[in-house]
Amino acid sequence: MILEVDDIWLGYEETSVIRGLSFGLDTGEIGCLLGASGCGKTTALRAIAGFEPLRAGEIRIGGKVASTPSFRLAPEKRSVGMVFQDHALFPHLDVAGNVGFGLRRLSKKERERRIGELLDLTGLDGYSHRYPHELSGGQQQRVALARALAPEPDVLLMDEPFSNLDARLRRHVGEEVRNILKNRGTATLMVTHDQQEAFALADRVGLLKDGRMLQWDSPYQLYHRPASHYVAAFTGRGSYLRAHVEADTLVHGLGRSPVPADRPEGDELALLIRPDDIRPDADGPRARVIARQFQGAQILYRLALDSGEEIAALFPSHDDYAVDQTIGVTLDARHLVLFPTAQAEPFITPTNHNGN
Amino acid sequence: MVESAEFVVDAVDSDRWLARGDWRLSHASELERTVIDASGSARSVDATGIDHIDAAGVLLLLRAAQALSVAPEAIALRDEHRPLFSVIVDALADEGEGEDEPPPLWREWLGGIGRVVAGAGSNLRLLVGFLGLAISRLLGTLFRPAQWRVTATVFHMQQTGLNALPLTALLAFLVGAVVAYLGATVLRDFGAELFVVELITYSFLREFGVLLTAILLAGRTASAFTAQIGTMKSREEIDAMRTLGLDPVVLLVLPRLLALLVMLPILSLLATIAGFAGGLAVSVLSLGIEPEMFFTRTREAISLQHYLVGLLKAPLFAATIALIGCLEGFKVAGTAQSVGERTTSAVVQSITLVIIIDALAAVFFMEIGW
Repeated sequence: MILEVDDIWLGYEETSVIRGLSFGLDTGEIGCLLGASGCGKTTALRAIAGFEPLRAGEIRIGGKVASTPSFRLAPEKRSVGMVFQDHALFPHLDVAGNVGFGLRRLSKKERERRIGELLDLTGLDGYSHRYPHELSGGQQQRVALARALAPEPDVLLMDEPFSNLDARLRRHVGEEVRNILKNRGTATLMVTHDQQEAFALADRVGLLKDGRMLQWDSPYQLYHRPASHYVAAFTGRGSYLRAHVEADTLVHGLGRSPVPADRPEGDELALLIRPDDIRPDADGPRARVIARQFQGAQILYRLALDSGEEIAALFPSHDDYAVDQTIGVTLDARHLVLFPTAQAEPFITPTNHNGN
Repeated sequence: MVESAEFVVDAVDSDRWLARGDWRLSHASELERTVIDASGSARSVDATGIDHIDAAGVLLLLRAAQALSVAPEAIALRDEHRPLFSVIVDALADEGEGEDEPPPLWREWLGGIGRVVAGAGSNLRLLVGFLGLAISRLLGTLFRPAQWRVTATVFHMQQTGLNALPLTALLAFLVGAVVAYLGATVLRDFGAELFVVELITYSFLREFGVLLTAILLAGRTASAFTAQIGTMKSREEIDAMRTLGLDPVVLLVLPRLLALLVMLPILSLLATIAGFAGGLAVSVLSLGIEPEMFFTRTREAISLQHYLVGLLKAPLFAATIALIGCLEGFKVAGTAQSVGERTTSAVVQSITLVIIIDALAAVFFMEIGW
């Protein structure tokens, strides 16, 4: 583990912002802290960079203790690189100057070689004499990344790295950044409020709420095997079906399924259905289309089942049904996620987690 | 007897929550996690399952009850726990009531003075700490020429010195003229107009040359330093620098400090000359003193001692202005508004400190007979 965060507590004055956060990252791994604004994710990142004192716990970087409540290694000494939300490029230096800023200890020749290599990697060759204000948002983003990677840090931290880019650019730059990071093999931790971004980039995602980590898992697990309602709602659209156990099968509005091993206590259960768990099937249970939303490659439907329950379903756009049409559907989920009914809401839509 | 502590919904009655186990400080962090999870509403909380409880446990229990919108009276407790519980509930209620009554005006006023004095004290301590930091970094980089920031230092010399020259010279010239007029008005009654020359010489060599320059630079340069560093701070450039393994004190503070340490004495020398010129102009044009006479008397009055009295203060002023300017820049937090506030504060602080140091120095040199 190149980065180990062990039960850290952080706060300002009387409020605790982070309460007992623990996770670890291996070399080459990309981790992401995901959470709504104000959940403390940026504070956690700044604590790892060494800008915030700990109240409890310990942070180790490269096997060495970097932060404890009584000790804090200065940010300049802990071998972390950081990409800031607003990039924080030095406006009076050109691209080469920015990237080479942390390399002043090297000889001139070595520095130029390293700058050239990084500009190559980030696709910025030819821009080395431009100034930050002459670059587009995506290019600035890549300069910031190249600058942070230049001193070859053990751990790279990224604070909402794509929030200043428009949606299309964000996807494109995100892909590029992931390739660059994977090529370098630098352990990376980013924070974001956008679950799409987290899923697209990270190997491991931790969902934070009120300063605590609800789940630290791969994006697939987080989406398909959420540990709680909050995780389920934050990571994507979905709906719940009432379910109960009869003999060895689980009975719900879409038929019967085998009972999963990790079934929570209770006879009345709520079964989480993701829109992509539903497939059209002429022989399946009947459902009536009550709303449809064309999304390009897919169509998002809202279906009413015979039991009166409503579910969301995402079909390929060739499966084009009109509103009020009755179709057959089937449940095609690898894992059934069950919650005790008491707390389940009928229908979940991810809220818009904009801002910080 | 349960070893750990629990806070769970009653399996039979979902409107009732059960608290069990050891609710003491040693379990507080574990309990806090479960208590945070508790939300919604319930009718009652049954805490008779608690074996041991202390103040931390009672507070957690009250917080949990509040999260479930259960009144403290609706918490069922064992008899032996009730006294502690009611003491804490009463104490919390008292705390809430005390806030309502505003303190009398005179006390608020007195408190205001106290806060200002304490603030100034801690500010001074911070400044002394910053001075120490700058000196230690200066000594640390002294023998490592690779870390010298020659370009930046020369740049700041130009900004703070060369570009301030016309204004400094103009001000000093005018003040020189004013002092000459003022002296002449008083001395004419005694027929001693000729002593205007001594007046100008002494005042500019000992005081005005360096003081005028320092006040001008406090307004011009301290504010510029604060604004530059403050902007970098609010744009996270300082943090970026630190994560790149670079020390902002070496990179930003030392060039500014050195530039001012070099330029302030030079500027004050030029200001002194300009002041003499102002005095000379008034003497010749309005008081009828011949230029030869002016120069002769000046030469007789000048001694190295007077010049040193002025010059010794220059590095003190330079360090004060540069350090306050930089420190206030580092204090900027977040917004652009904060940059403005810090800039104002830098100017006020540096002018005040410059004049205080000057007054102390005047007393000191008077006492040692210079």
